[in-house]
This record gives sequence, structure tokens and C-alpha cells, in this order.
Amino acid sequence: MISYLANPARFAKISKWLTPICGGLAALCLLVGTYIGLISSPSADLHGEGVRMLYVHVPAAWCALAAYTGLAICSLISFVWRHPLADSAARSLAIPGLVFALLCLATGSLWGRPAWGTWWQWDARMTSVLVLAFIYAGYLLLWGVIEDKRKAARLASIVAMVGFINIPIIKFSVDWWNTLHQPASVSQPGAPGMPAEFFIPLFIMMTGYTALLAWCALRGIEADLVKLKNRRAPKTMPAEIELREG
Amino acid sequence: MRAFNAILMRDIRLAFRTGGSWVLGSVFMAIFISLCAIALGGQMAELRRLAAPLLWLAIVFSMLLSFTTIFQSDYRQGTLTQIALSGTSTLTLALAKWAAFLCLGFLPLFFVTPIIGTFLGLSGQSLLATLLALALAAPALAAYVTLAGAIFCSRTGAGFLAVLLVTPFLVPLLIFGLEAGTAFQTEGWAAVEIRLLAGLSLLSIAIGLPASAAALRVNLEPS
Repeated sequence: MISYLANPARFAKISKWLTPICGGLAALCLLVGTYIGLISSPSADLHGEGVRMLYVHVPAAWCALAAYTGLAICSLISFVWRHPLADSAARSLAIPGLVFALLCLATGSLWGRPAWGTWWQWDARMTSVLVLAFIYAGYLLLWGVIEDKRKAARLASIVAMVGFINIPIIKFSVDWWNTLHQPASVSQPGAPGMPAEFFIPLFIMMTGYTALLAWCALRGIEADLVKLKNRRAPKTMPAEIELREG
Repeated sequence: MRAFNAILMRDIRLAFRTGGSWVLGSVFMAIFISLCAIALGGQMAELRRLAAPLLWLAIVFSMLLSFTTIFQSDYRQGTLTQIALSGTSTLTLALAKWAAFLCLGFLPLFFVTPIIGTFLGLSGQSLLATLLALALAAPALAAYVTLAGAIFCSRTGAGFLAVLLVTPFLVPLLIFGLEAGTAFQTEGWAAVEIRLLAGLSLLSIAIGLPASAAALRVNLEPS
């Protein structure tokens, strides 16, 4: 599977139809999810209209973690088998991942103001998501500052793998410590721990966010492939010589 | 093992012969702490409460900022390449450099901590707890600093970069280290936080040192 996809031509063939599907799915789900989430779903008893923040916050958090997991797996593949495509995939996941982590923090603090009465609290989950955003930033910075891109790819993959310890800490921080942030309600046994009218828009939004993440990553890899092709293309046209008898 | 000893002894000997730059870390720590004390208004009661976090921050920053001393000059002189060419694995090299950094970059700070702690009004029991937590976390801190040094050994002026890159990895150590310090004062050796800190420290060493070795190999390869 890995070495099958590592061939750029084969990858391009797959991504040619996979990318539009992801993009279309993202657009559709985000539109429908926004409509249901904002207009047709009810407000919650406890949280009032603030519950609608759930539909943008939870998917962003999920995507930030998913992007980092994907990044770490791609880094492992790149480190072990040295596939350039895996480097490209890792970097293409890091940029949307950073955006999703920041989005998660921003929406979380907007949620925290009405629900907890504070914009920010240094509790375990918020701190660890902030740390995740820093790790993303450091990872991308490493790509930026090292000129030799092959070297940058290998060093960045090492950093990404070391940073992966943070993911379980984030995931389980709400279970291990008594934090302000509520524990997981979607993935607990007997799930989902919420009525269907909240879960359906949330599920649609999560699908949409995930498709958006996949679309961003695929587009990033495609862009890298095009760049590579352009670099290899001949820069000048072959000279033409015309011989005339005279 | 012989290579490990040789590199470790060489680094320590070099440090003592080149004008004692290993003292600078503790000087930095003293200055940092006195700046903090001045900025916080110099109230002894307040300083005593903040003493342990301040000491931790001072040590973390002092170690982080001296990451260039681990590999950089050896890289530039070609010593690292020589060692790698002589058949020593980069893991041995990273391990020896880590041990040397622990001796030169951390031990002086560790010995200065009680003195500075007294200036902050730290009492015996809490000073002991802080020292214990520091001693447990220091190998892990040193492992991450070694990683920063290995990644940026071919690059001058990477100070801020290294701080940004490594600080996220240090956050759990900082949190658990401070918690372990406070827990030790009330519960002694039975505290769960101490075991957590020790486990985290071992995990960080197990991850940080092979990663440093891999980063060294990347930087030592002819490009």
C-alpha cells in the first residue's frame, strides 16, 4: 500500500479523482452542517444558543489531532523508507493542522466565555492544545529555515515523531485530570452521549472538516508534484538549425 | 563503552581548560533570579511562594540557551565527522555528549540551586523537594537540549529556533516536575507525582537520545 502510493504517477492518478470528491464532500457537508447547526437545530437547555459553538469547535479539535497523527505516520514512513511523497504529505498536513489547532483554541475560548465565565484557563486540555499549536509552528519553521530540503525533511520527521507523545496526553488529559474542560462525550462507551438533534449536525460537520483536511493535504501534495515536474522540465527549447543551400 | 568514556572525559577536560565557560550557566541563573526578584517587588513572602517555579524556569532556560555548547564547535572543527568516521555510532556519540552536558550544563546549576533558593526564602523541606524533582527531570531536560543541539549543530544563530522547537517538549516535564515538588512535601516518597515524573523522564530519554542520534547522522552525512 505504502510503496504502491509512493509512485508519483500512480498517486496522481488516484488523487485526480479523490481530490475533487474530498473537496465536494467538504463543501456540501460544511454548507448543510452550518445550516442545520445554526438554524434548524434546537438550543440546549443548559448552554442556550452557545451550544452551536460545538459544531465548529469539536471538529476543529478532532482535525488538529488527526492531522498530527497523519503527520507523524507520514514522518515515520519518510524516515524509514525515504519516500519524498511522504515528506510532502507530512508538510501538507502540518499547515491545515496548525490552522485547525488555532481555530480550536479560538472557538474554545469563545465558548468558554459564556459557559465557564473565562476566555482562557491554564487547564490541562487547553495547555496541551496550545502546546500542539507550538509543535506545529516549530515543525513548519524547521522546514522554512533549513535550505537543503532533503535534510530539512529528515530533521522535521524526527521532530514530528518526538512530538507525537503529546497526542495521547491531549486526548486523555480530560480523563486523567479533573479539568474545567468536560470529558469526551462522543467517543465514550454507550455513545453518543447526547441527543440526536445535536449529534447529527456535529457528525455532518466532522465529516466536512475531515474532508476539508484531506482536500488540503491532497492539494498540497499535488502542488509539490507539479513543482517537482517543473523543476525537471527542460528550461530552454532545443535550438533549431536551418540549413540552406546557397 | 571505551568511545563513550573517551568522549565524555574529553568534553569535561576541554571545558575545564577553556576558561570555565561552564560557570556561565549558573551566573545566568543568578542574574535571572535576581531580575525576577526585582521585578516582583522583592517581597519575601511572595518570593517564597514563587521560588520553586522561578528556580525551574531559570534552570530550564539556562540549559536551553547553552545548547550550542554541545555540538557546534565540534561540528565546525570537524571533530564530529572524525568521531563518526572512526566507527563510533552516533548513538554512542549522542549518549556521551548528553552525559557530558549533564555534568557541565546541569550539575553546576544543581549545586547553585540551594544557595539561590535560600535567597528566595526557600525553607529546608521545600528546597529538598525542589532539588529532588530537578534531579529526576534533569536527564530528560538534557536529552531534549541534546536533541536541539543535534538538529542545529550545523547552524549558527539558531537560539530562538531551538527554544521554539524544544519548549513544547519540555512543558510536560515542567508541569510534572513542579507537581512532584509540591507532592513530595506533603506525601514524601509515596507521592504518585514523583513516580509519574520519573516515568516521564525515562520516556523522554528513551525518545530524545535516539532522535538526537538520528539528527546527528543527518547532519554528518555528506550532502
